[in-house]
Amino acid sequence: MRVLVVEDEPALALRLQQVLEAGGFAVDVAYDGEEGWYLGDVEPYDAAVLDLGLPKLDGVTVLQRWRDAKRTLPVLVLTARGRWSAKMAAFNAGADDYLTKPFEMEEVTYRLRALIRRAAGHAQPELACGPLRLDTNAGRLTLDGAPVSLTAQEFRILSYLMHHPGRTVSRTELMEHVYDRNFDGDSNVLEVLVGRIRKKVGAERIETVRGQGYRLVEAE
Amino acid sequence: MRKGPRATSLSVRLVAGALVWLSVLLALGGGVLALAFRDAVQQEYASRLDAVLLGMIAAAEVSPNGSVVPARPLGDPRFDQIYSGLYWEVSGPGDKTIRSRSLWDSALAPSPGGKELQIRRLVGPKGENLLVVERDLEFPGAAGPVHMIVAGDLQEVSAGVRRFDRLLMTALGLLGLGMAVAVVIQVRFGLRPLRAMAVDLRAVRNGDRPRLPDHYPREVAPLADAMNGVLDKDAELIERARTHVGNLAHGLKTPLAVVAAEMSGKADRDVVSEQIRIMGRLIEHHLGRASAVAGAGRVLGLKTSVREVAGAITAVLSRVFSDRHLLFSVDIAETVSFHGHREDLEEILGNLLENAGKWAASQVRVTAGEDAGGLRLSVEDDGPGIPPDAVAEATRRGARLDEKGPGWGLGLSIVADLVEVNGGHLDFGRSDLGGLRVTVTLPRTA
Repeated sequence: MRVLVVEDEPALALRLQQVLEAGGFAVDVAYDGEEGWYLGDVEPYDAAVLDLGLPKLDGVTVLQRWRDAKRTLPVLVLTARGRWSAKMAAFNAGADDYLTKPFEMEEVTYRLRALIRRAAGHAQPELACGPLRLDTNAGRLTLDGAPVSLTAQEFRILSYLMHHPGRTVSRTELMEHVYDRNFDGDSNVLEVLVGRIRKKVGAERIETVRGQGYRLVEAE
Repeated sequence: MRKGPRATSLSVRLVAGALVWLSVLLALGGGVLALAFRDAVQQEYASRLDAVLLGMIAAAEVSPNGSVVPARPLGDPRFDQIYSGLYWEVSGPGDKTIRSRSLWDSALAPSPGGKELQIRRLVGPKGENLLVVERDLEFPGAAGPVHMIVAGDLQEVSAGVRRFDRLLMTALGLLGLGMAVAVVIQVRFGLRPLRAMAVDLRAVRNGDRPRLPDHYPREVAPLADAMNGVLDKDAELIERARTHVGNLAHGLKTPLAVVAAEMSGKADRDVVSEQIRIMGRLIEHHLGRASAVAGAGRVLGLKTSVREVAGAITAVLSRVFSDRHLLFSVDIAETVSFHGHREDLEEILGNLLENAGKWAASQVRVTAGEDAGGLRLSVEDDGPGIPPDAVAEATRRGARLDEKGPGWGLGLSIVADLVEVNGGHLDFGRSDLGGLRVTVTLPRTA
């Protein structure tokens, strides 16, 4: 899962990035409204964390422009203003959730996971695929109840596939949602990682669709 | 700051109106009087002429050949002066006509009439206006009916009429002037309280007085009262805002001191985190109170649809709580209004509904109605509710009833502040849904 963080306060932006990466996300950061708008417009994010008080372009305008351009990614808005009228303004502009500063970092991770899960069409917090269970709230994967040890990259790949079960996900799409902008590798890395995942959860779980991509096999 | 041309001055309106009416009525009155006098004078002259005519009739004799002649000389010498302005003429019986010497070579055209006195006007030999009195008469022994005319120059009386007209105009003119002066004085006197109010307002703006005095007449008292209401409220708000800023500054000092102390040595993360939480809560709390206070002042003429705001907030909360699949029901008539700022209503309902949503098992209901006591809002949920002894705690400053979610207690205390500033009160109780029922009562602004 890949998220965009738009936050102008550097210390806060850094902390958010660290916390979210630890939570299993690939993170891109923008430090002002213009950059944030641009990135949200052109890159495929699974969700965004958007501060409302931004330089160059304010958060509500960025959000409105995303929505006008039909960018439907779920957006969690951050702001110092606790008043409900500010919340209403954010929701009317297209926000999906709202946090007032100061907030607990864990709260951001928790809420983003919930937003992504709901956006993928899953009503329950737990995603299941045969013996595989992904608790999206906690970000934990279990196989027949036993925790599976995955690296951050592996977790992201499997998590993305589990959010879109039964659908063939192209290599490009997978790479775009698993790596941040700074990644400069090639898709062979993906092959290796998928291979490693198969070893841990069972080869039959992930099907290679020749020339098209990968597909998480749903349980019968 | 003034947006358009001022309306006509009250003084000008009152005085101009009175003067117009005055002129019209005086002109009408004067006209009626002048005409009446003219008429009376004319009537009087006619009777005098008639008296002469009757004298003529009395002095007339029937001559042996049947014609009628005045036997004795008529009293007035003007009948013998040529074109004197006083004339007589007797026509008949038959074609015979005798005239006074004053008529000389002119004639007075008789008009067919009757036995009664007829009065008319003619133009005389000099071109003068004549008043004519004439009668048809039957003399015993005369050969036929006789028509007698006496005519007099109207000049005789016109001088008098002109004199009267002049007198009338002068009198009415003076009367009008006097009344106009009286009107101006009366208007100035009547509008004096308004000028006094303008002076007082200037004093208030300069800061020489805090509010307007109470002694204005009934008609402008509501204006003064409204102004004083605004001024009093402003003063109160400024005072409260100052208090909040002071309290916030004070409140932050201790946590900051603790953090500073920790940082000077090996900082205990838990201690510092706790102080940060405390500082955050303090700021939220005081900011919330201060903005509640700031918004409450200007409530003259504001009206917000309660149903619309409740609908918008429940739509947002349905999204936020979508995992929980809560049912939000809004049971509010369209006419119910909140007489204050939309932001304040959003804050009250937003916090109450969010709270209810956090605790609810499956549903949240919001109702509202207006009655004699004012506006009544109720938010209910089917959650666990709160025990009765915790009711007082629920509204205390910054107190958290339970650590269900961050900032739980804060939301309610913000609502309590807003409600208090708007002069209302907050009640807790048990809902028939099974959980908590929070009722906000907001009185009508006086």
